[in-house]
Amino acid sequence: MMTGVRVGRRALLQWGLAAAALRGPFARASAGQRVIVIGAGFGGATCAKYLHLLSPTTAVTLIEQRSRFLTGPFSNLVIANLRGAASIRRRSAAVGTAHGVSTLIDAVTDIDPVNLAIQTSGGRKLRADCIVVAPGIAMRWDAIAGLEARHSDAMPHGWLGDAQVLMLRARLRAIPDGATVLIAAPPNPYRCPPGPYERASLMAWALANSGRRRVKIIVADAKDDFSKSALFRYLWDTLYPGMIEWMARKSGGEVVRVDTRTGEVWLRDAARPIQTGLASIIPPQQAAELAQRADLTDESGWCPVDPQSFESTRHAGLFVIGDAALAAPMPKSAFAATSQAKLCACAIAARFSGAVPPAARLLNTCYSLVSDNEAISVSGYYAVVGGRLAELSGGLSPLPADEVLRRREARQAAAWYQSITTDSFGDS
Amino acid sequence: MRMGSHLGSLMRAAISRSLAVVLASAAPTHAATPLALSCLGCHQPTVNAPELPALSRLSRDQIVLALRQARDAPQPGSIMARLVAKLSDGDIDALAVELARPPP
Repeated sequence: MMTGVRVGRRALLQWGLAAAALRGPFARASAGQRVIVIGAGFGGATCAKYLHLLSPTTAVTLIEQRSRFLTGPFSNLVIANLRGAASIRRRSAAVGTAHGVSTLIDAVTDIDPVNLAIQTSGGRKLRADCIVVAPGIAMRWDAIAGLEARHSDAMPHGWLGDAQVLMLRARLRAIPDGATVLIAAPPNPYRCPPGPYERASLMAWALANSGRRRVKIIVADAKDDFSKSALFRYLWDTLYPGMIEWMARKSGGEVVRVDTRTGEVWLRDAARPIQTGLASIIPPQQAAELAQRADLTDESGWCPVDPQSFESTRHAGLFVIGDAALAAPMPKSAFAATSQAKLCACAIAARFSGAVPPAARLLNTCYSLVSDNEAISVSGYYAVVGGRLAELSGGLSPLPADEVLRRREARQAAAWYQSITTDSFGDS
Repeated sequence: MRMGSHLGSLMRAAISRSLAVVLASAAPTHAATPLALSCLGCHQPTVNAPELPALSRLSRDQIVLALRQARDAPQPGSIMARLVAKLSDGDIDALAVELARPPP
């Protein structure tokens, strides 16, 4: 229950937002402002789109180094051959065209965080009034002995929307019955917290439905709990009895060494390696290298931000959204990135037009498929409390539930994917 | 008491009138606050799936009713219930103004 005083303040706040909303689309005085958005994933593409809509006089340039990419969401469905790769592939140039913003396919090599200028490998030098950085994650290749970027195709993480997703699909298809598949789940924080466990579920589905129920899937974990863990473990026992074994860190589950030539994987304190037919090693993660070079990261390896706007606390005028940002308790998910992108776009548009900054109110929903037609979900509503992001409400799918609910969630997941990719990427 | 003050009512009326101007614009969406824009992540107008209806095809009253039901008497397993549990009546009314189809 709210007090009368708080009701009044909230009403005033909303009035301020309505005024901001009015001034945003009709801003006249802010002509000539320039914003560079780096990264055309869910965060960057969405931010560019809504900056253009909310502040039409602002020149928005979207820069992405990859000409094409696969979305993280639903990539596990491609690995399990439940979807074609084309259905999750996006073309970066078409993303910009869909949103009416100019797009540059080029790699940003340097950001000058003081002068708000960038350089690209293609030789472009650009300046802006604000720079939004949505660069995603980098793998920490120093964390697991024997695992290097140049050899990682042999034990594909499939976590960066590149060809490794398709390698995993091909390798899963070729796994003989009785072999061992190992998925290494990274320590927190990392991109897509339920992703390793959805991968285990859908691999089990693909194997069970192709007569290979004797394949053992080991989820070797660098932590002692994980997103939706009770739901996943309950459903693994129900749907794929005996196929999936989860090893917590405290039970020696952390992968410490691999041999990418032989397929051997060593867990902490294990005397002998596990011989795998397929290992998907998802390494520990940090903010993408560009964020580190631009001095946007702190000692954690991630980018601290003001949660009211996602402006960097290290450099004014630079904003960091999506997986690279320190935004706990929000997960590093596609939906969270889009929600942060919309807040950030509103905050920049308000700054340009002199309007009241928006209240930071954010959402997240993540679906995980556990079979071809059953899914579970986690959702949260977030706001700033005492200067920090806090989850005001949220929850998970119920643990005991009938098939009807799981199937409804799977249909919702498909509709969610279509909706959020339409919002972020248009017809690209 | 949720958003029940006279001041609140006046403000809501003022917001409704002000946003009606925005509604008349040709922009793809008239939503302009972070929370309303985040709703569009699942509820894209051009997708309009049975499970995730386009809010721009619903009236304000329909949205207010749906959100209050999700908050006060949720269906088992409802995702919306998790998201709206802490919204006030005023929050819900403001979202409906931003997201619903323009009144006739």
